[in-house]
Amino acid sequence: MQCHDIQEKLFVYIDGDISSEERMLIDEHLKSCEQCNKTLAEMKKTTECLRDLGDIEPPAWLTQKIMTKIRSEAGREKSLWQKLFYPLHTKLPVEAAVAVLLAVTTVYIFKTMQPEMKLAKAPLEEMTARMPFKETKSTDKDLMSRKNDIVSGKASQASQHQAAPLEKRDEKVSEEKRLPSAGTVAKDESQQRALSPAPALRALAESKKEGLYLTVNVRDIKKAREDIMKVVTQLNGKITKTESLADRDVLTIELNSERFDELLEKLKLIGVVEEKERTLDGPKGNREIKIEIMKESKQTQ
Amino acid sequence: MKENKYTADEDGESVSLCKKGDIDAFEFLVKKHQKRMLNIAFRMIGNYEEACEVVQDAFVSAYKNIRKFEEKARFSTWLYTIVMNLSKNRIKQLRVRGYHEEFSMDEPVLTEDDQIKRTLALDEPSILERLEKKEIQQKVQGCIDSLESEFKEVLVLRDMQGFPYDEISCMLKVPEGTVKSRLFRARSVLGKCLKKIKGVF
Repeated sequence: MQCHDIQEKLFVYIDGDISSEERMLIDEHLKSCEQCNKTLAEMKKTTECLRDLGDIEPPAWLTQKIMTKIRSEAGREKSLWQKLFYPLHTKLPVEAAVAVLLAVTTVYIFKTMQPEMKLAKAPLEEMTARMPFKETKSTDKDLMSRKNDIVSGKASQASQHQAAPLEKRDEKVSEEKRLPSAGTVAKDESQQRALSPAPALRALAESKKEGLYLTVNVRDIKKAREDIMKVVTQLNGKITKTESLADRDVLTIELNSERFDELLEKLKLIGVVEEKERTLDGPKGNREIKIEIMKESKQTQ
Repeated sequence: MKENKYTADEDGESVSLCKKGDIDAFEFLVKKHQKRMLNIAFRMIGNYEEACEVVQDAFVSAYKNIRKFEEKARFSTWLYTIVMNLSKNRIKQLRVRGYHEEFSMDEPVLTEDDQIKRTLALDEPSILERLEKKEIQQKVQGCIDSLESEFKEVLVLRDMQGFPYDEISCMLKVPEGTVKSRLFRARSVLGKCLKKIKGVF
């Protein structure tokens, strides 16, 4: 066996991790080879040297220092879960942030929902908004009929004048002054009082959609009605309803809104026209018009 | 055979407790392994303070990753692998920073003790012996420090810590044959270095 081979084996020889045959061979060689003995001694010395270094002791604080780091690490892991789900352990900023977030979300939801709430409320509001309007209108009517009553009282004194001839209906202003024969008006004052608000209300209710509500004061209701009907048909209008009441006639017609002004002009020739209500917004087309034909009186000019 | 060896892990119980978040179980493992961890780190790095730092980092890293530990090897093996890797990283860092001056084999190692020894009276053998021993140890550590990491690690694990070859192979992720050949090289180089130190041979 060569020294070189032996030296490689010596390494295992020291470790004791060697077969008995090899050990015998090496032992045999070592008896005669000084060089290999020297190498073996050096090797032994080297490993001895390393073993002699011995163990060093850890500082007393090492465990504590490690565990402090571990606990803060564990705390960081926990913070994600526990601090979120155990409110009593949470830090104030977390709670404050959550509270602010809640408030903001609530306001946001409320704001986004408001338009819908308005929509839901809208019909109700319309109703309530209209109610007082109707009432005032009806009281207006009431007032007007009362005025008429008063007028009729005066008129009765001047009732010597007979109703002006129908031909003269066109001479508006001058003839207006002429008092109407109050006979019919005065006749059923009480009835009138009871009745007058009713048709007015009904008329309003019907004209609710949109359109025109006119009063034409004339001397002769019957004649005026016929004239108005003619005018309406001339303007391509349609008479949908004719109502004859004690002191007035009410015509309900349908007319293209573009011709309203023409109608007004013609009506002015027939009598004194008062516009009670006008709601003509919206698209053009046929609109409903109510024309109340009343006996002319001094006050209604 | 190896499998049986690995499954019989004395730390198995503590490890499974740690996986459930038991910090006290981890403290038990720290106390049990910190000394060997520190010795590995110290022999690798050659600096006590740095070694302490590395051991702390290794335990923190082990705690963070304990759920990933698959128990294919023993927990201690896994733990020593971590400290070994961190030590090697630290050596690189220190070299880059120029902290770690390489030990020169050609120049005699001078330590503080040389100065003290000269001033001491010769008739105090016990102190002298102690100082000489400490001096030799420092010089030996200097020789170890001079080795490349791949030789140093086998020396540390085998000749100083006495781990079996299969475990070293597992820690370093190299075959046993490679471990043995590296160890042979390491011992030869170290032997040459030690010969230059007075009083060793």
